[in-house]
Amino acid sequence: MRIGIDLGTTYSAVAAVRGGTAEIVDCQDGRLTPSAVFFDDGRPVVGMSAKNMAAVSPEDYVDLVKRRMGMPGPVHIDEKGREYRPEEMSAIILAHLASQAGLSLGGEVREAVITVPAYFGDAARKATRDAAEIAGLRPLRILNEPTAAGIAYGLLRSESGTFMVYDLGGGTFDVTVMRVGGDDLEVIATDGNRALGGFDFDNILITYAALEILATGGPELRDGGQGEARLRAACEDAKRRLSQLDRAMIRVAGPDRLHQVPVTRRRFEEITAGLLARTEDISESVLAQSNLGWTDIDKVLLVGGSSRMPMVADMLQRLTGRRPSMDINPDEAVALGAALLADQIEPEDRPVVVGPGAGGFRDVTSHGMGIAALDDRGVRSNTVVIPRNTPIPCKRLRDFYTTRANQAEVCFELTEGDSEDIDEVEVTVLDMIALPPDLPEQAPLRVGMGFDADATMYIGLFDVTNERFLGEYQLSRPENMTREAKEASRRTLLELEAGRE
Amino acid sequence: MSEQRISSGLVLGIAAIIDRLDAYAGSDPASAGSVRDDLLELLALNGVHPVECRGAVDSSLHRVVRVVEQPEAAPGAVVAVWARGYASGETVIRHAQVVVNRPRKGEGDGPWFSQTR
Repeated sequence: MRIGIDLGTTYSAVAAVRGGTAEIVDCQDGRLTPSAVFFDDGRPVVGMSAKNMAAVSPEDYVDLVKRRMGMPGPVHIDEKGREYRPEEMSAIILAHLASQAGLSLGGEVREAVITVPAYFGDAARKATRDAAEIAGLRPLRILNEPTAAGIAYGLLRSESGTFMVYDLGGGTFDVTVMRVGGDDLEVIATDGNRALGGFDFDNILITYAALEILATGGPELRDGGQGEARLRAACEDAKRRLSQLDRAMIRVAGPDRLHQVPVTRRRFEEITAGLLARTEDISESVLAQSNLGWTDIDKVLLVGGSSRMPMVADMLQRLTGRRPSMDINPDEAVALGAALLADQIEPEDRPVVVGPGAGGFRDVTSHGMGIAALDDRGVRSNTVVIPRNTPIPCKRLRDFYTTRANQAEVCFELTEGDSEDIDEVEVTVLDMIALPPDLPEQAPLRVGMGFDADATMYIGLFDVTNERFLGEYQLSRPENMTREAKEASRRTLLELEAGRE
Repeated sequence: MSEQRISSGLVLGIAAIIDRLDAYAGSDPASAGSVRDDLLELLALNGVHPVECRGAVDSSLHRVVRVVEQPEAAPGAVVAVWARGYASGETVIRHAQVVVNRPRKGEGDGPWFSQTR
């Protein structure tokens, strides 16, 4: 069986196609499962149960793992000193989601399309793929979230034009511009803010309510205790109600009496206008990167629970002249799109290969990729081979040259970033590559770089003088796991799972 | 008895009102208490019951909001309830917010959540 998984920073969702229609699969925690793990005496517990126990021993609680995907180093060290990498922790969450989905669907889930943010780099995508394999799932595709949303909104085959996906989640904001024509969906540009989401809107309302209560002679409720917990719950509730009503009352019990703070939608929008403006700035910037203006956008798709706030639709209507689409539950669009794609991929497809029949979805690179080379002044600098926002899959060739006669080897340093300044980009030393003897000075060496449909990277080096390949390298990063390490993690995970019985 | 289940949104709304009545500190606690009891009864008639909070903490029912040290209580026991939780059959609609006594860790099977008394 196959599913689509929206593996989110704070919440995850699973969907599957049943009877030709994509539906969210109910798990133990309902339609959304917190992306959180708690180690209960060494055994992993996932979801709301994990969140519930976080306060008991925060050192046994792990969340926000997605922010660490593709980074080296552990996200958790258990009591026995075992270190857990981000992909292992994600594997625990994926295994839980797959097993819950299996229970709900009545079968074993073996394959999944898993979504990642469009800005994820190569290492983070590879880590997500590894997480699926550790969890015992065959990753059919690592799919960009806005692309998944576009699929869920049925853009393919039914509409053509230029679309913007505005994704305001609990803790992150992403915006993507894409073009759809016939069976082809192409991401043109994407950007975001990893530290801007619905949570920030809650915090502003909490501060507002707390100050209003203080101003009317009440106590300081932001005490880190029961008062603050009640205040947060009341404010989150009021925020939700303000998406439907013009005014709401924040009612919170203090130590001596009930405190009531009236708030209108208009007031809420005034105090959070700065946050909304930041999403507008990022949207404008992505449009500029696309060489487009608001009038070129045919439709805006809303994704992420926080995009339900009416001020979001109002702002986008002001900018585009049209009301944005929210035909699909914004919390669920990404998982639904992943499920639709999972259903569509031919069984014989190799996981990393995309054929023209597999949907024709095209994403773009989220940052420039290149190598370090000496410029004409002899300064080591970043030379971009594949520019940012290049549609993938893609392959680019560029010639470089030896710096002296009889150069014995060349240091292959991969760069991620757009600046020419080597200090402003991420540099990974790939390898020292031996060169054939007797190459003259300035002998051409052709570098080929390519991304497959999952944005996994391949690099080739060709000796033009002798007309032979010096090698083709699949990008192997020290922070990604070896096959043996993944198999060992899989065994550990199974042991941990078995320990729960 | 109707098969139709009460919506979780409605339960959460009523639960918030019950929270306020639980926190009521005004001059007429008896009236507040009777309104609260009516609401609890209304929920019960619709198959929604408060989550059990006696004994050991249960992560499937309880959200731990604070951990305290109380030598006289069992390790891992719920010692206070900040807000009631509600369930309809097996489905938890709202987790109870509880304060627990610090559990003992890693001492073989069970002591974590067992009620020792």
